[in-house]
Amino acid sequence: MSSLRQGGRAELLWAVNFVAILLLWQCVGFATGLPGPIAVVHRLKVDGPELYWNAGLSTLRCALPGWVGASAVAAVCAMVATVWPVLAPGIFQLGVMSYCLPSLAIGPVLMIVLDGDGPRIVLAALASFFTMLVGTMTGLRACPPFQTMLVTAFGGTSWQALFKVRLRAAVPSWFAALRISAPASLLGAMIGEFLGAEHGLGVLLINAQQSLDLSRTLTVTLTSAAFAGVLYGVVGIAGHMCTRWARDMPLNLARESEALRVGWANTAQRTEAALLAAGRVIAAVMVALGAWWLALRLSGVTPYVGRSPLDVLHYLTDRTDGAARIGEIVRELGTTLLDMAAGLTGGIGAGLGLAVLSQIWPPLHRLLAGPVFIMQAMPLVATTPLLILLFGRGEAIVVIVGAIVTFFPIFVSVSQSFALTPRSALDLIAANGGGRLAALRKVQVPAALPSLFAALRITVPLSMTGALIAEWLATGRGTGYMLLNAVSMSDYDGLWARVAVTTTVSMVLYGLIGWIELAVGRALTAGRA
Amino acid sequence: MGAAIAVRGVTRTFTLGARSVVALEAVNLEIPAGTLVSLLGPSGCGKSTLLRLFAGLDKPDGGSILIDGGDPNELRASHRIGVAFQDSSLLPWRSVWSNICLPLELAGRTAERADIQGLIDMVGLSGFENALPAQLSGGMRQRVAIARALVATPSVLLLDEPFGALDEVVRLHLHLELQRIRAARPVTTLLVTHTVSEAVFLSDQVVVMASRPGRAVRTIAVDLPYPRTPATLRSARFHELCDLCSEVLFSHASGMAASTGVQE
Ligand SMILES: Nc1ncnc2c1ncn2[C@@H]1O[C@H](COP(=O)(O)OP(=O)(O)OP(=O)(O)O)[C@@H](O)[C@H]1O
Ligand SMILES: [Mg+2]
Repeated sequence: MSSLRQGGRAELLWAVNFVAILLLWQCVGFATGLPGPIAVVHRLKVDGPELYWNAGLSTLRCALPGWVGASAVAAVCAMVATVWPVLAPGIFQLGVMSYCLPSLAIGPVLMIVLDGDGPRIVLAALASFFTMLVGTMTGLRACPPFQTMLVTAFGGTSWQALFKVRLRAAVPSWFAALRISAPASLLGAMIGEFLGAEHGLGVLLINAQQSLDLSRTLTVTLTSAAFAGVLYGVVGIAGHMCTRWARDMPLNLARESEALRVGWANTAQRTEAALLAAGRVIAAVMVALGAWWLALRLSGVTPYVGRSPLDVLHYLTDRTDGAARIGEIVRELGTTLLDMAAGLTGGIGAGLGLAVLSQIWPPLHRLLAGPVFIMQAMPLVATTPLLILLFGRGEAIVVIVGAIVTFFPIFVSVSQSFALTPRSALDLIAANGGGRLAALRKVQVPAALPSLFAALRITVPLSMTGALIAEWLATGRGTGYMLLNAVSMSDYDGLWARVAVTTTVSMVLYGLIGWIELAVGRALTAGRA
Repeated sequence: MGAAIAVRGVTRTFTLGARSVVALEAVNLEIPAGTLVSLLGPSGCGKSTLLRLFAGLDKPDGGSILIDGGDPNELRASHRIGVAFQDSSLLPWRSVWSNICLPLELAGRTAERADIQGLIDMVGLSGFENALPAQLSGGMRQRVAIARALVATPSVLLLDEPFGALDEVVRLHLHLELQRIRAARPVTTLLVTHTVSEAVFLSDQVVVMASRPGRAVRTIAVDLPYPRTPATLRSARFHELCDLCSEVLFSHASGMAASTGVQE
C-alpha cells in the first residue's frame, strides 16, 4: 500500500520534472532566440517525421547488431572467466583496452579495413563491450556462496551450479549493463556516421551542423536521445519483469569495475600483485599488437593503407624524418591532454559541487534527478555538433564537451556514496553537535573518495573521445584534428601511429589514476596518524 | 534406510590472516543408522563446520568421516543428503514451490504434485506456493528450507538450527511432524541446536560441544520412550536430562561465564 503510494508520487515527480524542463527550455528559447520545443515540433512537421525516423532506423540497424554481438561475446568471456578464474584478470584487461580505444581514433582505421555497415557495427560493439563485460562478470560473482553450496550439497554438479544459480543470479546486473550500454552503442554507431556513411542520425547531424541549421541539429539530437531513451526504457522494463525477485539496483560501472579490479589485486601479496599487473599489461599489449596484425591479415586490406605495428615503428624511427614526426605527435598530444584536463576539471567541479550542494540542500537532488536520468539515457558525445552551434568553435566547446561526459559518472558515483553513508555515522556527528557541513567534511567526503576515483577512471577514456571529437569538429587542432587530417592526406602511417598513441595514453591514464588514488589515500591516513 | 556415520579424530583448522582457529579438535562420534543426534553447544564451537563436513562440502584436516563406510562425497553426489542451512538459503528468484523442488531437479527426478503439496501443508505454508522468499517472514523461510531438505527422501538429514526463528507453537508442531516422518522412515538425522529442551525432546543422543578449541565433550543418551508427546515435556525424566545437558554445557563455558559477569 505504502509502496504503491510512493510509486505514484515518484511518477508524479517525474512528470513535474519533465514539464518543468520543457517550460524552462521554452523560456530560454524566448529569451535567447534559440529554438524551443515549439520550434522543434514545427521543424519536425516541415521536414516530415519520416526523415528523422528513417535516419534513426538506419542508425539502429548498425547499433543493434553491435550491441547484441558485444553482449554475447562479453557473456561468453565472463563465463570463461568464472569457470577458469585464472583467466579473469586477463579478460578484464582486454575489456579495459577495448574501452580505452578512442572511437574517433579507431573509427578511420575501421573505415579503411571494413566496408559497408562494418565500421559502424564494430564501433557500436566497442562502445558497449566493456560495460557488458563488467555487468556480466559482476553478476556471475554476485551470487552469495551459500547458493552454489546449496546445489553442491544436494549433489548437483558445478555445471548445474552455473546454470541453476550463477546465471540466474547474474540476470539483474546483466540487465542493468544492457540498459546503460544501449545508449553507448547508439553513440558508437553515430560516431561511425560522423566519420562517413550514407544514412543515419550521425550523417543528418553533421550535415545540419555544417549548414548551420540550428533547429534541425537540435531536432536530430533530440531524435537520437529519443531512440536511446526508448531502448533504455524497453530494456529497463524487460529487466524489471525478469527480476522481480531482486532489488532494483542500477549498475554503477565505476564501482563495479573497481570492485572487480581490487578483487584480484587483493588475492596476492603486494610485490606479487605488482608483478602480476605488469605481466597482465605486457600480455595485453602483446594481444593488442597481435590483434592489430591479425586483423590486417584477415581483412586482406592492401598494405598501402593497412599498416602493421612494424611499419609504424619504422615510420617513427626513420633516420631522416622520425624525430620530427615524433615531435609533431607529442605536440598534438600535449594539446589534447590540455583539452582533456580542461574538460575533466569542469566536469569534476560541476559533479562534485552539485553532489555536495544537493547534500546541503536536499531539494536540489530531486530537481537534478530528471536531467541526470535523461543524461544517462543519452549518447552524450553525439550532442557535440549541437553544442558547437550553441557555443561556437572556441576554447569553451572543449571544456563543455569534456565536462558533459565527465559530469554524469562523477555526480552519480559521489551522490550514491553520500546516500550510502551509514545513518549511525551521521547521528554520531549530530550527537556531538556537528552540523551538515561537519558531516560532509568528516564523514561523507572522505568516504566518497574511492567512488570519486573509480568514476574518474572510467571517465578518462570518455573524456579522451570527447576531446578528440571537439578538436576534430570544432577547434581544428590537436590529435583529434590531425587524425582525420592524416586520413585526408593519405598519411596512413601517421594515422596508425596516432591510434596507437591515443589508445596507449588512455590506458596509461586509466592506470595512473589508481596510483594517484593510492598516494592520496596514504597522504590522508598519514595526516590523521 | 538411514546410514550409519562414524567420525574418527576429526580436526579442522581455519587460518584467519596470520592466526589459525581450531574449529574442531579430535572429534569422535558414532551415529547408528536411523537415529537422531543433536549437536548442542555454544556459538562458535564448530557445529556448522562439522555439519559441512558431513555434507561433503568441506574436508577435515585430520581424521575421517565415514557414512555407511564410504566418503560423504559419494553420498552427496548420489543425491542422498538433505540439508537445511542455518540461514534458510533460499534462491530468491524461485517461488516456495520451486525452491522445494530444487533437490529433485538436481537429481533429475520428478515427484508427485501431491507429495510436494503434502510437504508444504506439513510446514504450514499452504497458500504460499507461489510466494517469493522476499515475501516470507524469517520463520516461513526456515520452514521452506525444512521441506526442501526432506523432499528427496534422503538417507542423511542435516539440519542446522532449523527451528531457530520459529515461535513455540509452530516449533512443537514441526518437532512432532519430524518425529512422525522419521517413524515412518528412519532417516539418520543430525540436528544442530542451541536449545537444550529441543535437543532432549527430539534426540536419541545429545552430543554436547565446547569451544576454543571446538570439541565434543560428552554424549548423553536420551532414553525417553517413543512416541514423544507434549506430555513428555512435563515428565520428570525429561527435566532430569535437560538439567544434565545444561550442567555439562555450563561446566565447559566457565570462560564465557566469567566474561559475561555470571557468578560461579
Ligand atoms: N570459512 C571459514 N573461515 C575461517 N574461519 C571459519 C570458517 N568457518 C568457520 N570458521 C570458524 O570456525 C569456528 C566455528 O564456526 P561454526 O560456524 O562452525 O560455529 P557454530 O558452532 O556453527 O556457531 P553458531 O552456533 O553461532 O552457528 C568459528 O570460530 C569460526 O570463526
Ligand atoms: Mg552455525
